[in-house]
Amino acid sequence: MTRYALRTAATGVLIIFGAATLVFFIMRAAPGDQALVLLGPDATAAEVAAARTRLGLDQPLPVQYWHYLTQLVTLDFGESYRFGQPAVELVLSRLPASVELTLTATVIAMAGVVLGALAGAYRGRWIDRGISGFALTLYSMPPFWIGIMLILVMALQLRLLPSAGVGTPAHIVLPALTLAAPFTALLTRITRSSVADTMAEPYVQRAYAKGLSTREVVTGHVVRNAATPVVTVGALHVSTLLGGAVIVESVFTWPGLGSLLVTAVTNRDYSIVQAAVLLIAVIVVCCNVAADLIAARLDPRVRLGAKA
Amino acid sequence: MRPVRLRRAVALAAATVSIVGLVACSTTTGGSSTGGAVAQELAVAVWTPIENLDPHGASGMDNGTQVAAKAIFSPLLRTKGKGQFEGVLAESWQANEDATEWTFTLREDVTFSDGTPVTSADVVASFERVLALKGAMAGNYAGHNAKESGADKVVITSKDPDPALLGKLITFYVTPAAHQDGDWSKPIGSGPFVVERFTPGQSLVLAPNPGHWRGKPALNRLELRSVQEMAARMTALKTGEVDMTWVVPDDQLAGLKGNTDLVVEKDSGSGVITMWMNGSEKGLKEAAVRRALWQAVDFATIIKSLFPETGSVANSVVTPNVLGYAPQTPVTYDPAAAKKALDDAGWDYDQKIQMQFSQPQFQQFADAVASDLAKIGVKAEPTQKEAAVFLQDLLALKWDLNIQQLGTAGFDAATNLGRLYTCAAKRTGYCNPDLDKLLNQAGSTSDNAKRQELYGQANKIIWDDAVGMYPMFVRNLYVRNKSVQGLTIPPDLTPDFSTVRIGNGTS
Amino acid sequence: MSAITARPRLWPVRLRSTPTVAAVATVVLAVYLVVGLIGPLLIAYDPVATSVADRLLPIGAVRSDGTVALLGTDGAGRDMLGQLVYGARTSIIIGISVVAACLAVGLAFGTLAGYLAGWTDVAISRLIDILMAFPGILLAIVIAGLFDRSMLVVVLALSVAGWVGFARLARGLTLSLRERPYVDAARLIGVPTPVVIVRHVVPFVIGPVTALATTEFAGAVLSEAGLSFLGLGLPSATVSWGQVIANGKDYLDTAWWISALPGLALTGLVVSTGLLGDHLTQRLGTSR
Repeated sequence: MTRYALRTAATGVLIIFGAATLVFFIMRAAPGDQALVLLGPDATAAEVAAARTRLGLDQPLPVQYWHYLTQLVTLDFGESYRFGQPAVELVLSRLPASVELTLTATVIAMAGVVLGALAGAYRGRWIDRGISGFALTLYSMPPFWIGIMLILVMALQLRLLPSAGVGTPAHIVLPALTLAAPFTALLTRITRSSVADTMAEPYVQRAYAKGLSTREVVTGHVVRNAATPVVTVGALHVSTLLGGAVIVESVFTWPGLGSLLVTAVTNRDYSIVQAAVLLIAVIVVCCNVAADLIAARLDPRVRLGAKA
Repeated sequence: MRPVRLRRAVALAAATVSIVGLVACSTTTGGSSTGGAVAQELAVAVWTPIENLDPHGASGMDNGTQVAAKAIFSPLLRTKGKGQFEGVLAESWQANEDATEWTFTLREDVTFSDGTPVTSADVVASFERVLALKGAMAGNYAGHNAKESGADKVVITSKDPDPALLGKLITFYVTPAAHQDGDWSKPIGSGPFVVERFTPGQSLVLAPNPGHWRGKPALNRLELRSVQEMAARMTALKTGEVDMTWVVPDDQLAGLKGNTDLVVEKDSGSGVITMWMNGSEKGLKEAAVRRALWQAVDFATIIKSLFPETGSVANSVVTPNVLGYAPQTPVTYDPAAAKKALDDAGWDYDQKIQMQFSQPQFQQFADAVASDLAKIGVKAEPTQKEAAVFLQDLLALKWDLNIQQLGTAGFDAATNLGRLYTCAAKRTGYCNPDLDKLLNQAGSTSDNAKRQELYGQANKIIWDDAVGMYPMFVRNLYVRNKSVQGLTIPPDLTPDFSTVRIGNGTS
Repeated sequence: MSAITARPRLWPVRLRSTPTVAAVATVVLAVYLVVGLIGPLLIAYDPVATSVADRLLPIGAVRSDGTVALLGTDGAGRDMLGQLVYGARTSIIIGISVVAACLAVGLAFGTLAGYLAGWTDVAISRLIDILMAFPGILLAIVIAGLFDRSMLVVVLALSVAGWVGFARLARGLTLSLRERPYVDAARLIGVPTPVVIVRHVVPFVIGPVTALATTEFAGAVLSEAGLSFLGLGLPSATVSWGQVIANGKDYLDTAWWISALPGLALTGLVVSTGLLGDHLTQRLGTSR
């Protein structure tokens, strides 16, 4: 267990460090820097050069990188030049909205587990085909298109729900449904496959032989064993959800981390981009660890820290 | 001007035109006239997010921040149109002969919302802060300096003559000297409103300032919501979540039709679609070639189809409400003549002209231009660039043709022609010593009649040499609920909410 | 974290597919291919030409020149049917190019990591982890900004992170293959490592990886649409379904067909690819 903890911590730090390094160099490689955006089209070359010096952008890349690493360790990314507030504060202030959206979407997506279990238990029957077809179709639609169509039907035609912004609980419905759509489909497919595999195991067959009904077999023997891949894949895909939120948040003007990140990239607001990417990396690593722990808990065959 | 968002759209504070047709005559529901007192609360959707309330900082020139600043702070003066200004904090002003020294006398009865009086020290401190922050705004005041002259006088001097200073100062807001480095999430100002709650990039809630020198505004609560996504702004308007928004695209009017509560108005015009053709690139050096390309595009039809409400065919490099406007001979659509001129100039039909732009609303426009050019065999490729990249390429002259909407700050050609078209500016790829001389003369006198004359001549050179195509004047649409009353449509996209009140819906 | 990277079955999930379903999917896919390949020859459509007088026409409306716009027109007056047909070609080309690039890179990295183990494995696995923890959108924005827009750039932007899936699968398979007796034997008699990999490992990895390719194809097509939707995709002279959907976003209220139709076309393509993919996974996939 100690060995596992050490390994996990080391790998986690490595991943976070890698993502942080990647974002640093990517932002510096991107054309158009902060000094330009800051001064706008009216600036003279001398003013731009002065601004670069002031922002430290004229220093050699390794020096900037070293400076950045010290920021990273102290978790102080400086002020956002546009918002005039500490970047960490801004990023954290947007986190709750993103978490709210992601969690709601995850809860909605749990429907996929039920659907998948049904399909898996009745493999090959009409209910399986219906559910599987539905899941595949859902998975095949571009998420942003689902969002647009939901706005078209639910907000513009039927006028049932607001199409954008925050405020009432009704506001979260459309973005959460959009974000949940591909995830639901994924969970359905994985649960179905996992349940179907487990159903083929000898001990399940034996349970049948004892005269138990399908429902009893599934609830009594299958669910626990089929849960491992579902939970691990689910936890891993939280990062995908965070990524998907970037587009969904911009379609529905949801004031979360994703929309902040996109505007920050556009404005070359390095401090926000760096703080946001770090936070996302930390969340992803935590989800990975959670996935490991839950898998070990559910399935004694999985040993933590076992060499792959 | 900032390509990220139309930053300095400017126009005349003159008559606003109401588009009739959307408003059915007020024979609506009978119940609306009952209840006597209507809640004096207004929510508006601002089209560029308010990320920062600091009027001197990096986002100080964004429309969102400017709108907020107009409510919270006071400027020295404000515009009344072409070359005319009205004092706000300043009671009067005086320039010396060559416009290198301006003296402003301040009003005496103005206080900040914390009760302290506004003095020349506050003005100087604010001005110095603008210079020290070296943001986008500081570029306006290169070589400028402000100093106190008693408690009620401020003198602004500049190294070079600056006859257009007043126009630039309309976006300069005064904040207390004592709070220059404080917390800008709840700043203190002397404007008609005070900040109640500010969530960056989302919402700004304001309350009336009871001590405002022109009297407490009628509104008890004013919320400025940042709604960048256009479709969301329109929906919010239709559902009544907000009562007003501005900069509404032509195409969205169709969706608002049938809603009898909404009133559509236009401002007096704020900018010119400007399509510079890079004279230092790809056979675009000759004026004849540039004119031919301009002639090859049927702008009249494009404008009528894409911008029926907001667009009109331009006849000058700057809008009619700008000092320095002079009408030119319109360029008429004539593909045959264009083709012939290109053939005569030995145009290389195999090369591809890259048309750069960054704002998505230019996409269809650019596509239509490319389509017309293709009809005479000229290959043009509309390319949307990310804002920061567009800016970098723009300044580095890395484009063949680019599309921007240019406003003229302070309604004075000095900030447009005088700044962008000199050889030294290196902005358009065009250089003409004669033009340089004209612009230089115009920039060093404070005689407005003389300046009008000189800028008029400059206008003609730029137009005739087709430094760019200048196809369209742009006006902006304001949509409000008819209960919103007392609003004067501003020329510069920054509405003044101090005069607004909420009626009972039967205007 | 090694338990995560080594997890063998992340995505290839078997859907029981009957030959009929697979056949139908194949036929639908073939139709898309035919439309994409020869449709442009049959339907005259010039993506550069706009006709602003005929903009926002509904389905079946008559244009000013008397012709019928079968599926309506978009905001610049371009024919929707033409855009759908030309968009099919774009999507298919992008999908195939991205999958080919990702497959090549993923297969190489995955088998190397799995076969050589040790530091190579650690390095490649960590690279995969880092890429997975990184918002792909950032990569795409930077790549789209660094270069002028073109199809090649889009393929590059989508491939930078897209190979990870293949690499994970290939690595997992190779790990178990290298313990097989015949591989051991080849190694013992001194067959050079590259030859062992190419002759004894790759042939067994290629099957499941190909099955994964159909899923990745769908993913690439969807991602291209997403990039175009954010305004970071192909140049406007190249028709892309994602771009058309994005163009119609502002007209949902008045001209729904602009966004709705290309989305349907895209969904149809991806669904049939998915059905075929499930079928292939069942036949070629791992039995684990």
